[in-house]
Amino acid sequence: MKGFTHFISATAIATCIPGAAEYAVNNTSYIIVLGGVFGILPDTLDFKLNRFTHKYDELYDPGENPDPNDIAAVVAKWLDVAYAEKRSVFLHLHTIKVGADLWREYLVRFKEDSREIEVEIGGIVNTGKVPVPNSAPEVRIIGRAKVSCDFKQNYSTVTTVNIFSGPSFGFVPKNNAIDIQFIPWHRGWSHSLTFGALCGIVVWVIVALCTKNWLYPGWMFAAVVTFGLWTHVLEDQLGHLGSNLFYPFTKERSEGFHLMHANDAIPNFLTVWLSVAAIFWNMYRVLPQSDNTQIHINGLRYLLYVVIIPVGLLLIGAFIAKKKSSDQEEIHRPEEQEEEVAM
Amino acid sequence: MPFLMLKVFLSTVAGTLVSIVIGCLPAMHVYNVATLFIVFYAAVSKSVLGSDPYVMMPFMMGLVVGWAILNTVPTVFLGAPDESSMLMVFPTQKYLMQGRGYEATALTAVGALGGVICLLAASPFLPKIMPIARRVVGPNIFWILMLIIVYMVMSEFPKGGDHGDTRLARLLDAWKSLSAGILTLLLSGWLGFILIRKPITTEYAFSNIMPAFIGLFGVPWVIQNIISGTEVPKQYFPKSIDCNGFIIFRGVSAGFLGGFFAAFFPIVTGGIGGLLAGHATAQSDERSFIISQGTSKLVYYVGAFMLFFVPMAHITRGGLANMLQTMFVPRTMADYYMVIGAVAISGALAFVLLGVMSRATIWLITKIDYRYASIAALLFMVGIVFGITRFQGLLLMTVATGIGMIPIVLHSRRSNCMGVLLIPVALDMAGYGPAIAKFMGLI
Amino acid sequence: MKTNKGISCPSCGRFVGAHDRCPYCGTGLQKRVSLKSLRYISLIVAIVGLVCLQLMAMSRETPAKEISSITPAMNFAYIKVKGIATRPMKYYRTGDKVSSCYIYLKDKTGIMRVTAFRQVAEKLYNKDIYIVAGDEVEVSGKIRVVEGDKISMTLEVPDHLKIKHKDYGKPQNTAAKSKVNHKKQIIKLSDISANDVGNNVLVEAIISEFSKPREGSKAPYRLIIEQEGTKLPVIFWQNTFSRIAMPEKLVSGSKVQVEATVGQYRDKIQLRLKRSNNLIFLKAEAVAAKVKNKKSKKQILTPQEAFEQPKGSRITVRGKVVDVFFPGENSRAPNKIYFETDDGRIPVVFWPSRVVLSQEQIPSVGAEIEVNVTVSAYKENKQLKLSRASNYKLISAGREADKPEKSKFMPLDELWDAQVGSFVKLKGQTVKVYESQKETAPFKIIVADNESNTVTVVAWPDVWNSIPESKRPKVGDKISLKGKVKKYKQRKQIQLKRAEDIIWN
Repeated sequence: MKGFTHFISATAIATCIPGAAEYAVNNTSYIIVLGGVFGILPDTLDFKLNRFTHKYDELYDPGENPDPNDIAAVVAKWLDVAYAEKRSVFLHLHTIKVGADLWREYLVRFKEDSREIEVEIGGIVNTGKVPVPNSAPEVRIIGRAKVSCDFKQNYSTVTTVNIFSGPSFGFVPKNNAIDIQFIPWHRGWSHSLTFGALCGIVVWVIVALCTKNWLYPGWMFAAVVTFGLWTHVLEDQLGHLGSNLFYPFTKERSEGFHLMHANDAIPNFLTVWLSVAAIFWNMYRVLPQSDNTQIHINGLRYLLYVVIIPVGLLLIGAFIAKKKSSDQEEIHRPEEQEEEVAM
Repeated sequence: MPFLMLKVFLSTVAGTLVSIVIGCLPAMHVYNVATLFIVFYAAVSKSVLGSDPYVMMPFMMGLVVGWAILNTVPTVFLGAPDESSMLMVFPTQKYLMQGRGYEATALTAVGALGGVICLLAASPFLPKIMPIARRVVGPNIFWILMLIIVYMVMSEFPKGGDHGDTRLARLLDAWKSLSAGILTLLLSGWLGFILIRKPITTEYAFSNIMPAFIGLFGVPWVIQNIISGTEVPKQYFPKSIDCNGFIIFRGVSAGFLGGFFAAFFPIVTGGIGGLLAGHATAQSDERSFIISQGTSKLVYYVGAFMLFFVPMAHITRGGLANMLQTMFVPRTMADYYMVIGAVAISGALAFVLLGVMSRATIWLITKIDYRYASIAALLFMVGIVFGITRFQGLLLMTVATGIGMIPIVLHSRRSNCMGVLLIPVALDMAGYGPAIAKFMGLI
Repeated sequence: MKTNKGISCPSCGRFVGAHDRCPYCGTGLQKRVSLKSLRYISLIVAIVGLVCLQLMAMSRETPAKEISSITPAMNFAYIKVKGIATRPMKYYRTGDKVSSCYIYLKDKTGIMRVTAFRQVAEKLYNKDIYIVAGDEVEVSGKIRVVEGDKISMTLEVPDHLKIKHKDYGKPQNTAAKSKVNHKKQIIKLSDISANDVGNNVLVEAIISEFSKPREGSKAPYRLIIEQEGTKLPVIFWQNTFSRIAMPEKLVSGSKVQVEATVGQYRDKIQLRLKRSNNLIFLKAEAVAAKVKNKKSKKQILTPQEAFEQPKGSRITVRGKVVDVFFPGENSRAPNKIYFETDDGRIPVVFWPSRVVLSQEQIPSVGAEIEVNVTVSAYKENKQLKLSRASNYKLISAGREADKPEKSKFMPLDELWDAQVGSFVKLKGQTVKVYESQKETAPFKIIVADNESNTVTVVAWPDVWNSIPESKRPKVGDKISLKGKVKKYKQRKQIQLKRAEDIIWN
């Protein structure tokens, strides 16, 4: 899911921790903010730290005039190295920036059946991934390279390299074949339930030392932090990539539930909407009522007007939109599906 | 009664027409110009002419609506991206460089019109919802503002870090822009603390923040335009815009959510609201983004002013409402419906005017160098700051310009400059402000 | 576009955009001077400029202004105003927290309101800051001007409120002071006499007792204030009490300033407080101590304090036992140990099946016990519920000598419906005795007080017959008695439970 979705849903969870919302108001405490912080922290760690500190065997730059055969050969070479040397190999493919807002696109296809890497050079796209008219090559420019071992790409068999930073791959020997792990620096230790629990314990100790009370409010801060981080991990688990849930006890990411993509608008917006509804309700729940300004919100009406009706309308709208787009897709269905990961 | 309605109508139209001048000049903010009108109105109200809120309020609403729509013109046409100084290019700038500036203004106008419709549709419910929302959210605003600050910092994406011989080199390269963002936020927060505790001028303290805002946002943009090495390509006038109902719906709804969020919460601006809404709705389409920016900007400025008129809600958001409350506090539903009428009238008028002004601007930039418009705007801004706050204001504006230039030259988010209000207000609300101010030797 | 100077690398030809050094080949790139220099200029101007602004701000004094000179254009200015308080400072609360406080300030030129919110108000409250009309106040804060030139100031820092309390003992001769209405001088409690009835007086004293009427009662709230050994009751009604901002300060030890009307009730002088604003807390060492105590784990309350706790409170009470009621194993009624309070007796209630006390632990009248109990109510009468034997502690065994020397007698005209079901002590003169003619009817004694208020005291034949003949009250006898308030045919009566509940004066 998107960073904001993680952030706001973890904030909502924080307001649901018994006593936390009340504690925030009564003590002008930023305890709820901690929920949001730890809700987005796993991605912050990955995209601002792990991504740059990850050790690669090669950072490959295709150059301004890329040769697809070269790219395919590099990918195939490192697959072979991983197999031959029985070790994990990490490769990063750079994007090709040709203007402040322009990028040369290329596709990398992992053909498992034919043990082949195929690279196709595409046209120029802008940062919105909108193709620049007449920029695509007049004839398809495709390069291929053979791989000497079996390999398996779990995430997607086609990777489109276009904007910002390019993709990274981990080639991990497994069962006499190579397991291709997409962006291996992502969703590792930072996305584990154990890391969430550890953060909770650390925060608990800090709060306990500050307040000189081992139990309260330390447990509440710990719960906000742990559940905030776990919310992120569990939300990510709904997607394709999955996370390394019990690092260091587990070494690899467990596969996601394949229910959605990180960039899907409807699940993201739905989560945000429900989170905001929950936050508002929890704020109302702990509202200090004074005699002259008492307010009352009917819970059932709130549920109906703020949750059921808007969510129902959204789902109906999404269904109609999906139906329309699938009708169009039937005419222009691409041969393969493309994948990408969003923060 | 008909006379009153005529008065309101004419005042609204007058405000909208005046907004043409303000809206089409680069970096000219409606609040800065409104300051002049308010000073003038305050002077007039003490003369024999007296004061008439039923002239002033619709006039101001016309001014705000008109500006929020027409300000698209300089944003699109006078902001040509200089690739040698910019890492990122905004969608409207892309459109301009593709010769589709007119289309970009049309998309923004569609968004703004969508915003007007949404506000009108929401207006019957606001008197019922807003007092409750204000009461419920009130005790929590301090942490919500901190939540926004934290998100702004944590969600900024590193620009760079892809190339480098070592891991450390890549990390440092990536953190250049991130650090610049944090530095901008902290420096502007520092500036805000000084301004709030020790205003530069006591006599015109209501416009105390004005030189800082001009310095943080207005002047850097004008400087960027002036030094830009880019020529604006020939612009085309398409008969239709490349857009469909779903894109409009998505853009308008995201913009409305963001704009209204910003209008309701103190200190949060339309830009921040738009950013949050864009992330919340997983926006990726450029057209949808441009539309949402149009909606967000309108809903933020107009919505904030409209909330001032919601009976029983006691919501004073945005610079204009804060300035006007010294002269008039609306209380009745009649006042509320008066401004809603003004929103509808000026919204429709400004929408029509936007097409005309876009064409006029396109004609103008082919005739004269648009940098002259930027220079004129810079002179006007310096003049207005000096006129109200004298040399101290100019000094403040210069310092603020230095801070406002950091995100431009070091490629971070400009919204970090909002730290000027976000940080001191959020900390003040949580009760930490005085302690920090004391530590800083300000009190 | 790529022809622009500085956007492509002269060495490798790649697009480099805003980079200073080619990210691909590492070649240093020549940029337009304006772009490069702008980066340094921005940073220098921002940082050096901010330092200068900071130094300027630090060296600048907050400007002092007269109220009339504040204009709408000064909205949000941070200024200093000196003036005299026109009303006492008032604290407001939301829930159990101090949410704001207000001061009205007047100088030679105008009047304005100063408000402190949340933490600032709370800090002022915790520091026991008080202001009374006439105090000299200097305050710095942020100015707000709203429609109609209504000026208000927000106090942002507690230290920015400086108060010089007016001296009541000296004549008021400064020009500024003479403009404020503070003609009243503080007088001693001992100086108040029947001649002052109907007059308004201003007194400063320490609270020695505070009692609330029972729920549903129409009796007033009663505050006993003390000064140099002189005690006077201050009475006020529910509507006044509900407006007192800090009712928890109404405890023994709080110093108050009271402006009230002198009244007389049953030949006794009392002060009648009509407005909550006329009661100001001046000093609250005792309160502060109590507040701190509340935070400590074990706060031991007196029976009177226990009586004032809300229902549901978990409290520890220590006090002397004034009565014990153990109905026996076969009874369905709970055991009761009574404490005495100003508002009558309050029982510690427990079920013998759940709380088993050894014979040594059972208190006698006069014993001191400590119990950890929950405040509850039975038929709208407060009681203290004991749920575990471990929550009971016998501090000292009772002796006859420890019996309360002075009983508090309930005035007959203060017998309210709310007291039905509770035990009260009365004293008066027997004016009539009705002997029962049958087993199912009680004996009745009509007791009257000095004000000719009467109450019927009933005793069932078994109780009446257990009273020695010589000790049975006769018409004209002055007696004290203890009994349970009952209601019969819409009239209240006192039921004697035991023969020894009749005490001869």
